[in-house]
Amino acid sequence: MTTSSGSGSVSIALCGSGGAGVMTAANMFVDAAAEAGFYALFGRSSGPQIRGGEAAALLRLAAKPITSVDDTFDIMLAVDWLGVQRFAAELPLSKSTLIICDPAAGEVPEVYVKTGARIVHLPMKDLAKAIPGGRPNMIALGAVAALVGFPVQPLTEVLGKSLKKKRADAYEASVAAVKKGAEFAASLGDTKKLPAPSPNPGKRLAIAGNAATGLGAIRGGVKFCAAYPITPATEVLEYLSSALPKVGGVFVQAEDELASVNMCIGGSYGGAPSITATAGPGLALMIEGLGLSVASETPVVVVDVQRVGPSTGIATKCEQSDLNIAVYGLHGDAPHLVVAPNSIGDCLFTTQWGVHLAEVLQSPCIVLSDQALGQSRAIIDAPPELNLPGGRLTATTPAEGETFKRYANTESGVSPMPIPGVEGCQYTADGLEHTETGTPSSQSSDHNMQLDKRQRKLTNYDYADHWATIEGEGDIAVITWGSCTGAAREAIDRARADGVKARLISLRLVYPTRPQHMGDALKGVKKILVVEQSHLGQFTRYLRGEYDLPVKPEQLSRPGPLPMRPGEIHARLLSMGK
Amino acid sequence: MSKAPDFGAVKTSAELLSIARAMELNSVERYRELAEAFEISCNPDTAEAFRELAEDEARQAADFPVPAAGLAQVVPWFEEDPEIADPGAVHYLMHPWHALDLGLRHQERSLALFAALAEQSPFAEVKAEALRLVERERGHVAEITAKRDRLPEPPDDWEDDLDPPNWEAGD
Amino acid sequence: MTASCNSSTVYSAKDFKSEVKPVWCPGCGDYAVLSSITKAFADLGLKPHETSVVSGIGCSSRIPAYTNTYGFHSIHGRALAVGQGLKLARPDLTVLVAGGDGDGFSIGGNHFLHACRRNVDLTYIVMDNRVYGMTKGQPSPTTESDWDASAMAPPGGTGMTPFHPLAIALAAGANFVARGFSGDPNGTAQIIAEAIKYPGFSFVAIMSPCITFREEQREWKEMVRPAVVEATTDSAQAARRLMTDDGFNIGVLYRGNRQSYGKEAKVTSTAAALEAEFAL
Repeated sequence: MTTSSGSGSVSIALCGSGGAGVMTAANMFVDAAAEAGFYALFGRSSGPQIRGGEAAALLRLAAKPITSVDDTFDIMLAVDWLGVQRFAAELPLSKSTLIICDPAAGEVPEVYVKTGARIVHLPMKDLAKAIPGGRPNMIALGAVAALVGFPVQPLTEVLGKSLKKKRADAYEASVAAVKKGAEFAASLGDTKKLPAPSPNPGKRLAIAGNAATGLGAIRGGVKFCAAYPITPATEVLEYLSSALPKVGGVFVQAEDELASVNMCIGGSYGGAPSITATAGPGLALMIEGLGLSVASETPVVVVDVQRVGPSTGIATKCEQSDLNIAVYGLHGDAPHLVVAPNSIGDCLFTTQWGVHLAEVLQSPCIVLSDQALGQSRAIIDAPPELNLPGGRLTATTPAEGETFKRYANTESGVSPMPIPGVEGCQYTADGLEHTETGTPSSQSSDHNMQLDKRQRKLTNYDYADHWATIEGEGDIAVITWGSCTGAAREAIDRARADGVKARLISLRLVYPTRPQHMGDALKGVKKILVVEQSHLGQFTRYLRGEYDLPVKPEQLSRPGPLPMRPGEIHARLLSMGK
Repeated sequence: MSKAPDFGAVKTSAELLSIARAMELNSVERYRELAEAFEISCNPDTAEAFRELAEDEARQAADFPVPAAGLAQVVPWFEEDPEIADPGAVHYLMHPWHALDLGLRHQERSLALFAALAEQSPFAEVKAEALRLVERERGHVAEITAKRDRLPEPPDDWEDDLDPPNWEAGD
Repeated sequence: MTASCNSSTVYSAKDFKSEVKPVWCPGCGDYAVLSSITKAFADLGLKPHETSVVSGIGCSSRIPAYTNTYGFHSIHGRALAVGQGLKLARPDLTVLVAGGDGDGFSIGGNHFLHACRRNVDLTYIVMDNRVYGMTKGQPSPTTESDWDASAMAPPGGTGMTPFHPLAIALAAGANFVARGFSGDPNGTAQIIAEAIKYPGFSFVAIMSPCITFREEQREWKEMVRPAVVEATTDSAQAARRLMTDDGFNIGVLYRGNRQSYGKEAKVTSTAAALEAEFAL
């Protein structure tokens, strides 16, 4: 496999058993790098234990915005080796990788030795012992920072912020340990260095995808959230439970996902834009409720932070395998909205947009995020503040003698929806098929009229340029979505350097489809590569089933839990470009 | 279920008339509701019988003055409104004869109620008004009896259901 | 559903009924419950456009369409979820959730437990006929264990202990527990009105005969009686009464003093300020 690891960035894995403090060290490094003007992507991997399990902090730092993991790690530091061999598949190393380990921790596992990586010793425990209150993870932090050329000053500032107020002695000890680690690093040889940070970075955010999703919901005007905890969506709820009340909204922890989605439908019926967040198993439980939202035309937004399925699957890992249930899972002919963020920053916009669309189109909207976006923390450029004008089309008291028609067969397909409290507009929202006034009906004419109306409002709507992220030119098109977008983007950049030109089409509006727009985006394309993280190739099948593609697409798809990396896409592009 | 009636609850003739009127109007509503239920159940003859009962009651209500203080809502001296048809007394296959028979039973209950009040009320004014109402109800009972008896009596097997229950609109 | 009246209008029970005609069997107890509900609304001086009736699926769950309030006929078992969501988002509305025993205690059983616990200020009415009427006569959670009169019931009955809605409501934390009977529409209207006024989650189980699949329930009229004791505020006493009662005592049985769920919304921030918390 030809890989050319991303230049201008450094990837670091900090490993150790829980309690060794690798996550804390990594967080401090990211915070310090952010202060210094860098961009970062910070994922984590851990065992199933609630406390004490093996853990790995996976960092990538760069001077320019990054949206993907790299192919291999430049540095792997292990505070200890307890259980760390489990991460072997997730920690691709190469001959140019530097493995840093404590000689006191024992032999390096064979799986890492055979990668040919250079192995050096950093006696973290002993060095820490020499400092009263010193900790091995701070030695590690100092050493790694120094190795990549990162100055000690911003690190000690971050230490100051987190420790100084609480415990002056701990602060002093940590600073001493970081300095000690940095000094020792000089003896470990040379490795890849961080480029100079951007001198004038624009407005940046330090945020995780799930928090960005929560913030997007608030930007979209959400005022009600009922939800049930589930990995890897929990942080959306964690965020909203504290943020929503601050903007006058209500957060409820429901008894299950059935309650979550139906409470949201109730809140929305009452006039509050509503959202819930879940993962695949929860989405499966919510599907009947989404059908009710379709039939009763009550807006609701469901965020699905996809994880490896089916069933409980691998709850903490990413996979893009809920596409089918999101698009085709509802019983009956039930047109609805499915949107997918394609970067951590885009979680903010796409969720905001999803809320907006649900409200404007009186439809359920599934926001298909994924674990890699949701649970990774990043330093990103602040997404633009987009003003999405308009909202729910409401109704006012009809003229004397006039009958209010909740499901009026309007040209746009959107009918005025009263907020309870408006006199003369009382209606019964119903999952039963109904007439224009909402009275239950089993007449074919009513069924046809309402089916047409519910379809029309979604297909005729102008989604503008938001339907997809389109970048670059070339007669190869890479069509992808979600968290695979970052890897595809980086692969396309690398291929361009190799003289192969490809364009990126990352679908944000998964449903309804945009045949006209897709046709325009694919004009002149000779080859198509579909990139996705699914064993069945759900996205490829969806594209081939829903769109008239000009050529039969090539498919690069595989399941989670391993992330799609730029190198494999790059290699495929080079062979397609021959 | 019943409580001992409180015959002292009505103190004036006007109050009693207001209550009598409310009873008639409640019956109108109840009979209309039954008429609609029988229409929905495709039993138009019985629906029509209930509709006629509703009209009769509406005419009877019009005999009473509209009270200035608004309509009485319940019959305060008795747990149940005697002219509200017993929900358990109807069957979707019942005949018009049954409808009138039901109407008759309710008129008889009203009659008994006013008669008891005429006897037990501690207020002379109320006693006198109750007696007038008894006379009036006797007329209604005679009328409705005659109407019922003009109709053919249902056959013994009227309740035989040739079809199992079926819901056109089962959810 | 036409425009009418100004805010000072007094609405009668009839104003709370819609023009949609019930599809219930003639003689069904639910007609009287509908009348009791609309009467309670009128007696409380409520306005149709500030009142909401929410239901799930089943014969009795058809009720929202028969009222002239804002209504939601949702999906099987989820009425309480929709109703709680609505009330939490719109505390200013009067929310009444209604349905049957299958909807509320079988498919919706979990929501029933947690609605009692959560104690949102709404009223839940279950028209209990101890049978699945809409699907032609299967035993429900409240069906007697030996009932086998339907072709849909196993010979000898289900052998399962009937669910005790009032005892369970009490144990789960409902703040107001009462039993009504459709054959006593005025008394039931009074109970419903009190339930609506009472803070927190009010549960009213109404015995409402199914004259099609449970003909013997016509006899309920002779069996029910007003509860001879005053409602208690002592949950231990209420539990004892409920567990020794034969199921035919009508009236308010328990009034609790728990605080209703939810806090008054208070805006302390903006989307922009929240976003700024992530800015470097």
